[in-house]
Amino acid sequence: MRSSTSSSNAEGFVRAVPRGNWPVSCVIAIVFVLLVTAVWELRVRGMGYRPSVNETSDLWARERSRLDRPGIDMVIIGSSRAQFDFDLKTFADYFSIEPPVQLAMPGTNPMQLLESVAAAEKFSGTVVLGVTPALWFVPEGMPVEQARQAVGRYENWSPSQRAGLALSIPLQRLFAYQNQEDLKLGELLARIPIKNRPAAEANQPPLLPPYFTGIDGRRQARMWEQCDFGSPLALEIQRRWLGLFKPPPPPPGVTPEELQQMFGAFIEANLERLRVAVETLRSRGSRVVFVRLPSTGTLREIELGMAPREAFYERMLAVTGAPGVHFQDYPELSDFDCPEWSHLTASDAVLFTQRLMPILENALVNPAPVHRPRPADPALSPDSAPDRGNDTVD
Amino acid sequence: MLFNSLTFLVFFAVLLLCYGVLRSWRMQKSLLLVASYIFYAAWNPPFVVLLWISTSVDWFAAKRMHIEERNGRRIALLCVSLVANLGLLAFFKYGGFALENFQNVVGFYGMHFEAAAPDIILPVGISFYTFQTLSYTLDVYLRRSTPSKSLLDFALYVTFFPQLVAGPIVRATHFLPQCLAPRRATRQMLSWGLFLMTLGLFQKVVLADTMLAPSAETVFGWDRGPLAMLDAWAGVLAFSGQIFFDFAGYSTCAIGAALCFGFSLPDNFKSPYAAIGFSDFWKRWHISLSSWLRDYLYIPLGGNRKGRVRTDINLMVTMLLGGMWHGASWTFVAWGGLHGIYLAVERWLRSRFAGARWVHTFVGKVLLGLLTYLLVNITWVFFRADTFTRAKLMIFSMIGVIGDGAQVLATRQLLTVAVVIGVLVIMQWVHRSISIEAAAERLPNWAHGLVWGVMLVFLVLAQGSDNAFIYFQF
Repeated sequence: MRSSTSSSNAEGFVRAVPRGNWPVSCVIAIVFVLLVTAVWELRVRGMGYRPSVNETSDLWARERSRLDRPGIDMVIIGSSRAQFDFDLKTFADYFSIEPPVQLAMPGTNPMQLLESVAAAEKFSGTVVLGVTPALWFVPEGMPVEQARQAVGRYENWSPSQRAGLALSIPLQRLFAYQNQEDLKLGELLARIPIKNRPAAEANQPPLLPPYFTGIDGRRQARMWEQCDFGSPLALEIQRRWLGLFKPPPPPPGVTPEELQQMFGAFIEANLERLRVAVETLRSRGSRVVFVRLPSTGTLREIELGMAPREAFYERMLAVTGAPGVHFQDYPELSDFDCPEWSHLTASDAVLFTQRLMPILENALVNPAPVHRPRPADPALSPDSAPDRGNDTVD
Repeated sequence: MLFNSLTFLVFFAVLLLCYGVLRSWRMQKSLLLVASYIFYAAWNPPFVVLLWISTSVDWFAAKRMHIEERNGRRIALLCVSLVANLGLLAFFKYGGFALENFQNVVGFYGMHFEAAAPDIILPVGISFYTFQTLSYTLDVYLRRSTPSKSLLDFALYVTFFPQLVAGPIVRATHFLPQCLAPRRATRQMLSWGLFLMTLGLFQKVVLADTMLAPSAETVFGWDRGPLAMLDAWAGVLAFSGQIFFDFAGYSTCAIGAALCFGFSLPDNFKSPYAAIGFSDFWKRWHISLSSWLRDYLYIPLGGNRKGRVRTDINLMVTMLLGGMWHGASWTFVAWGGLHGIYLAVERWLRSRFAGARWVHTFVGKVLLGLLTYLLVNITWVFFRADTFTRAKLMIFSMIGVIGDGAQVLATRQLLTVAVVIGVLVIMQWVHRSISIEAAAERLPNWAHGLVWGVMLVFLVLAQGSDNAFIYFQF
């Protein structure tokens, strides 16, 4: 549309303003938008949404920038399980420290997050690495891209973006409709059910789980109570995990053998990156500990197939020489269930963290040898953990 | 600071309030200048120094040039301005590109040269304000205008925040006279300015980022072989809409923001996808750049005054450099080159079929307009693709010479592209010769308020979008 009714004269270029009572139009527009927004807010609250801080690269960057000042005692890295299942307050109370800086990020390969922490020269505290093996060894795609975006945002964080975050958090705490995960226009449009062409269906990205958590300004995630055991939401999320936790198709022209070789080489390279990052942290006096967090149901079976314990988790410990706590090795940690197979409920997260604390402390104080699974261990018998499949692998 | 950010919303409201409170025109201009520096520093504070260098060099060069009678001295002063401005542009924008090409050339001759990869951050909007200040010095050199008498006015001209980072590229002759007398926006101007800002943000956030960008990104980001013809076309059409709404949206915001302070900025777009032919297209697309290139490059090269061959060469040189202005990549040069070829072919066709009547009929115009839009879309492939390999694959997919291409877009995305692009092209044809002001005058207040309100509701729903404008990288 053209936008010119203008002229040039001695005063320079002059734009014409169309005739009409524009202040009245402005008032009508403001009243309209306020009304519609209020109705929309009521509607989404009726659907069960509550105000929550949005999980964004800016929020991660803000937490990461806290490591640029000395005095931080503990940092958590990992993916969503480390964000849900660790209760920051319990950590703080047990170790008598400030709550750990939460740098885990949902759905990511945390390697880049760890490397960013390793590059924080003023940080020499403890690093707790939450392990979801299938994600730590994802070579590309959204899990890598999301982490890259977050680290990139931290590295190039402009004053304007900092101010934007500070201004937006109070609004997010006030209005439920500000939920970006589910209620953004793009997400709403994406939910319109229109059948895809059969050949196009296979190329669509897997659907992410719908909103089932709230987070606070320190990035502590708490599962929403509507995602309780057996709830329709929990079942829907279970279905979506099945789409997400599967290997991507091989690139065109690559045989399965070649793919296997490429992935093997990637794993070795990834383990080397892990070793270097942990070594860098240790050289500054940091302590590092791995924690394998619970998963259950069919998802657990899939994980067992995709990332056997010996080939992934155990190798992470062996390569880095860092201690690890595997939930399966401890009866008090292995009797938790996850409503949607992957994360603990809010109350279970607190209990899990409380039980974890003395084990974690012991692992940090006596880094090796850590508790290892023994076939004869009654705590590891299939009867004590019926949902968790083959207990000798992960 | 992005227009589509909460930070800008607060910045703008506070600035507007302070501007309204101040009574002294000098103080108001000083406030706008300081605010513009803050606006720019909000990306990367050290880069404000570049604005100061540009401002001071051109201020002194133009002043000296105006009083200097000796031609040699005047040329030397012009060279100082050109070297300072284009030198900064070359260093920040083309340094890495030049090094990479140098390495390729010496490698071609069997030599090995590998320099450390330069870690240069491109200052936002450097191409825009460089061209803007250059036009000032060139106008003074060519005796088309006199230098500004006030450093404050000139600094504000270089830095004025609405157009600083993505245009329109404003001429000094348009802007500086506006600084002479106090400017205060009436309630009409303020409301209309706010409406234009809403319209610009709606174009950017809702239409470009939410409706079209995902399809364009999916298609141009596909790296697993050829695409199905439908998907390839949908991706290119989506990008044609995305880049229009993104860039025109910025310009509309800039015009609206300036109007809120009583300043007038010129148009940058006039229904470009309703253009009939490429000379018409360039009178409607990024007008401030195309007129800059015409006035300071094409005409000085000889324009169309030196015969047909020379005219074609001038056109090609202008368009190749215009392509290069957009980015340090050969794909942008190819984009400019294609436009140069289109313009040259159009000139030949116009002379060959000067008497054809059908060209002037409605159907003829529509057909030629659609052909123009189709050919523009071919050029967008080179503009958007990051390599020639990908561009080639896209073109082949679009003309269907590769079978078994992948279907990558969801039906919902195909429908969105069809509806948005369809409405865009139809609206541009409807408004081909009607300004937005004229169209707005036809609406009653309540309808206008409702349209405005609906756009605001969509902006509220699209919350959280802080994608940078595409043209910031240029």
